[in-house]
Amino acid sequence: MKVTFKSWNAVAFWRWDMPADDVCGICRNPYESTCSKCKYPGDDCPLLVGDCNHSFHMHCIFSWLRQESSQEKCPMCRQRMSFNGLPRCLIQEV
Amino acid sequence: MSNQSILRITRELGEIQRGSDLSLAVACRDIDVRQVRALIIGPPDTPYEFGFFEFAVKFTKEYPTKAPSVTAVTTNLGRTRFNPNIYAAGRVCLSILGTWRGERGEEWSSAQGLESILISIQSLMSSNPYENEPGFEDANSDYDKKNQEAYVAKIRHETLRISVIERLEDYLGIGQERVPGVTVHNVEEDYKNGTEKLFEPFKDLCKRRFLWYYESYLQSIEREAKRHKDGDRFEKMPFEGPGNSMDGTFQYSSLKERLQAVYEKLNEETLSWAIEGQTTVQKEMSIASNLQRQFEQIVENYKENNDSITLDLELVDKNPFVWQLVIFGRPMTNLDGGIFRIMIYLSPKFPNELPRIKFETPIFHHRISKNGVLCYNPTRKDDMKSHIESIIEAIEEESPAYDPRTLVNPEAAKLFWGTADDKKIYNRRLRRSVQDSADFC
Repeated sequence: MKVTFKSWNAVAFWRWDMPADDVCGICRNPYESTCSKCKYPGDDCPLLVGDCNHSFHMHCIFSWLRQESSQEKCPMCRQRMSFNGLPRCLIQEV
Repeated sequence: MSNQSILRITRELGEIQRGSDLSLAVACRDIDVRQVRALIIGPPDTPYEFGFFEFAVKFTKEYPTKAPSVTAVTTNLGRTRFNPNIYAAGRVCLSILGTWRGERGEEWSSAQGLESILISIQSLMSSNPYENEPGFEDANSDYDKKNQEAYVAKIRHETLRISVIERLEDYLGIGQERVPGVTVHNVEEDYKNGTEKLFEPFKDLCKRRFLWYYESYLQSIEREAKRHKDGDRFEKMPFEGPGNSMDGTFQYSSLKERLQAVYEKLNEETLSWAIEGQTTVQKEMSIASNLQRQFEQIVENYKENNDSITLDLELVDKNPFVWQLVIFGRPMTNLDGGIFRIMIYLSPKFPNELPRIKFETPIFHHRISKNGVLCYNPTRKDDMKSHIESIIEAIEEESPAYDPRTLVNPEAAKLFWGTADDKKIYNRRLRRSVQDSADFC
């Protein structure tokens, strides 16, 4: 028997490389979902892992760091928030 | 933008409400989730033991970036400072709220939330609150030791008088005219919406808990009455100032009478549900048919599942608001051979008012008070099947997690959680009461 594919659709599934039931400490939404402001997960609402190893939705952590009272510290461990050694001001916001 | 705070508050409220922490409760009106009411049950082994302390929590649009504001509501209308950090005017001094200069790393952050705030407030309610006052952390002179004791003594009295007895008297309409407060804070104004009544989300919860803890309240009144004569004035603490203190006199004899009056009135209320219920049956109201249907389904369900526990459920006088449950102790357990008759009284306002459970058969059990009140926590409040399952679970559970908020029978609990020998005595007394239960029925 000979089978001929006329067309095919690839379906892929992706997820963040994070424990499944973890939530963002700021919005308390799952990492798999978006921050409270976004509609579509993924590149539109990326995650950011600080050098202290705490991760947040990028929008969530930036809205916290923009506050003067945050003193640019991680909300979880209160160390100075940096990403790959770079402070926030050098990271370009999407 | 504004949605962000609402989504998170809603999520947090849901988590606390679904959670199993018996020491916290939260509620809000549908029209505004940013105005939250929270109730903290005073921690056991402190002078705040089993008191009902209410707080108003106001969130802004900037939450969680900015902390909410918290105001104490249980202040005797602005007259009583319950803690060095909880002022008579309602102010709560707490570094994570930004109302107190904190150490670095104690300030608000967006990873904090409603639950962490409430737990922080709860931790202020300690067994020695005197040392909460700045400058008195290590105060240990004889003068301070005397003060510490006097402070605990008056907090205990006012916890019972204001947070428990007066609250319940208000709920039940047991009225004495009260002098209006000196400084009336404006918390209520935020809640008043035209002609709407005051927001009282914890009425039923406090009534239920009062029944659980009645024996503890009574014991503590009787114990303290021996130490503090009626009419003795409260000591003034060095950090208490005009308009921000805890003044008054010990009145344990009258507290005891008032406590007993509240207890009786609550029992009257429970019994009145049966009559009110009958009226709703005659008027063919939906609550009556709802309960009738739930009853029939549960009976049907237990008939089909023969392997589960043996029980017998019927309506008293065909009234769907009064159920009689007979449980036969499961073989090979501590309850083997026992027959327990349990009355379940349902309110016409079910499930906003939860059922009240009374063991008619005497039993010595750490989850059942001397008066037969069972301490249990249903997972689904509107589903009577879940109530019955939780009742069975509460009496059968052999190695529960320690939770001092479930200690409704102080004597039994002390043995249950005591040494190995105590536990043996507990088991012996439980077994004996189980054996006697068969004769009782």
